Amino acid sequence: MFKRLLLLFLLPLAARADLRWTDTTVFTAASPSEGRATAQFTFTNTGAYPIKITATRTSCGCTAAVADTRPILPGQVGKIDVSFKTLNRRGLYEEPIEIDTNDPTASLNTVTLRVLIRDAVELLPTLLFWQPGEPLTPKIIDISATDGFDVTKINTASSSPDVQLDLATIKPGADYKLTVTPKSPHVKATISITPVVTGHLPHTITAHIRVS
Amino acid sequence: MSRALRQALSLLLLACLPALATALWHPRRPAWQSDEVTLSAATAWGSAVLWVDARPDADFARAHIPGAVPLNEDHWDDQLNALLDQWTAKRKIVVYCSSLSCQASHDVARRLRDEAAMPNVFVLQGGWEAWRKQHAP
Repeated sequence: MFKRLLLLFLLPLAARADLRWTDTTVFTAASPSEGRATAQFTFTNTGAYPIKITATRTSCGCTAAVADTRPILPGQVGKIDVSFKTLNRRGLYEEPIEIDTNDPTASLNTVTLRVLIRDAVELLPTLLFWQPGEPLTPKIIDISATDGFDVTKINTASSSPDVQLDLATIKPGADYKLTVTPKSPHVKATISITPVVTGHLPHTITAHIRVS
Repeated sequence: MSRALRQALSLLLLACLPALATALWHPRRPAWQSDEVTLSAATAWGSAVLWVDARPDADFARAHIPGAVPLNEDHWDDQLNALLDQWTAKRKIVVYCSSLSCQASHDVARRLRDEAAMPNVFVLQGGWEAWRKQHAP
């Protein structure tokens, strides 16, 4: 009787495939113009039986996960390649990725991709609006260079001649102020701000102007 | 009894110190106020609401909340431009994506608040699924 009970407890342990993730959270940084940020999640099969990834799920169409399709034998390392669309995106994104395996003790795993997407410069704010009846006094967009980008110049342009732009350099290569003055009581415009950055292709950031 | 109470209060106070430090300085501290709004609360705002659909264009084309404007990050600048044509500072923006588990509505809401400095930006709890369930024929 005792032996049977012992077997009952030991059998599930023996059948355990056991999957150990190197990291369940991977951080990466990219710029919007790169188009994609990529990362790799790896795991080791520390159990006695092969492990197979049966499915992966992401929370949005912006993330794609491609897993090893071969069975990962005991002691072997498997991987999941993840890519995240960075075009038009900015800020910190946290994308959970669900991974199904044939391991009965860990059939569902969740790993997290953290992506920081930064342009060469940051605008604050990206929208200036004047409410009905509000005097058309100038408003300011602060432009600051992001760490790690060597900004040598900032080019600005307005889609409307009814918007006057004045760029002031506060600290060369670091801080700028763009003064925006509407010249008409009904203006709808976009401002293109293109930093010239050493070693990078020009990438334009858009700010929006509305005068109701 | 009073000694036990004193000890319990001391322990509680000690536990509060790291909690307070986390709330003040942790880079991923939870927000004091949630930016989410329930469907019934958002619906009660009536025409003051500007519904913003953060789902992919194909999902928006299939069906969306009446009057909603699309704004997903794949077409951010173009769609934001169109959204601004319908927006005034007095309107409340309610962003939704597919369901409770999707993150796109939170990302879009964050950018409208942090980058564009727009006031009154909320996320619809339960997203499109919640709306569809309530309005299913």
